[in-house]
Amino acid sequence: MIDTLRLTAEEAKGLLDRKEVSGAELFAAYLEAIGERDPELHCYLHVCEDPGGEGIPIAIKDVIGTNGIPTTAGSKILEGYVPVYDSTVVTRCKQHGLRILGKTNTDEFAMGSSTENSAYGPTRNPWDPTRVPGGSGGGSAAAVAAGLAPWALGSDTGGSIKQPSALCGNVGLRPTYGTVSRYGIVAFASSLDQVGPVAKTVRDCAFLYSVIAGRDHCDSTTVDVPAIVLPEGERLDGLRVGVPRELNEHEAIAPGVRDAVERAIELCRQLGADVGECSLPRSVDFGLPCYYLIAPAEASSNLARY
Amino acid sequence: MAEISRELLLHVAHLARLELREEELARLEHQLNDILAAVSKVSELDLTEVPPTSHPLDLVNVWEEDEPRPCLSVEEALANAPERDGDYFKVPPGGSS
Repeated sequence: MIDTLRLTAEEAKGLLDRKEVSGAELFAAYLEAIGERDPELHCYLHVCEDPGGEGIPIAIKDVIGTNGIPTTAGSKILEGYVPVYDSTVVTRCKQHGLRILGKTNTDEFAMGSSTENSAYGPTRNPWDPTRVPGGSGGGSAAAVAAGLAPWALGSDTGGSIKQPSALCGNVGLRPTYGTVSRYGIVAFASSLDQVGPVAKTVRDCAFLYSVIAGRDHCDSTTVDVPAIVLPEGERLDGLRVGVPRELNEHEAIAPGVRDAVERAIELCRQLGADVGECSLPRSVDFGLPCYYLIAPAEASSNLARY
Repeated sequence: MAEISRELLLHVAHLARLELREEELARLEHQLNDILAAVSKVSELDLTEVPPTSHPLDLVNVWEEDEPRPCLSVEEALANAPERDGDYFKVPPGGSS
């Protein structure tokens, strides 16, 4: 019996390498979990058949184009659209043998922070189905949290990997702009969009990031990245962490959030990190207004085709 | 700073080919004005010394060699065409929108 709820991608690989489980059995275990819980959670817009092979299954946010697999970006405008090529990130996943489980739900065209704006209905938070999983990549985050995928790809323009990962209790990485190719994704704001990993552990996230990151000749905004080292233990010695003072001072911060941030800072220190204060003086007052200038303006250009 | 008037809102809705109900119009008028207020906040800053930024990394003029590579076949390219005429996409006559 494969416990997909707790299985990390690395553990799945271990099961396959030691031949405790076959590729077909692993994929089938996720399909079974999806059959059991997805009618309630609605993480998936499309579930795939096992393409065969021994690779680790992965869920893909539905703004990421997949050859031969419907890609809707959570919108009825793209209902029935089946791309005839893979996004670069998907090509790289396939080169590593990863098998696509399905396409996950998203706010329409990645615009939203709750996945309630999907034209195909909302996704529910597996920890409490009366709550949202966050967004726009709520489907990917909820799928990983509920054991309906060991890991997933999401996309982040203004928080759409980080926020649902936080709300679902996963690790999510929004990569530095330019380190992951946007070729083949349904664009929202082209100077902000990035594809990134959602997983159960930091190591899984780091590995998936290393699979997709790096310069792509199909996306001239990309650069090569230094070799990604998977963290061995939990120590953070040698890591410098800056906490912007202004982001922790706003009066609108809920008390529980402030406490959680302070506990996280203390934990980082206990694990050996050098945590210090830095300053982003205009971040709180001007960050969001800048986003509301850039993101809708670029979305207007990108979505004019529809 | 210009405010969104009801007339401007209706004009923009028409350009976007959106048909809006009265309660949607009232809500959107309010929300759009809120967004404009947030956006106009940026004009409070003196940005004369700030260089325009198009990329957080130091990328300028990224060139590729002009080498032919395998590409989509005609059948693949036309796979999602609602209508086709031989090897061509068939589209509505010019002048309609």
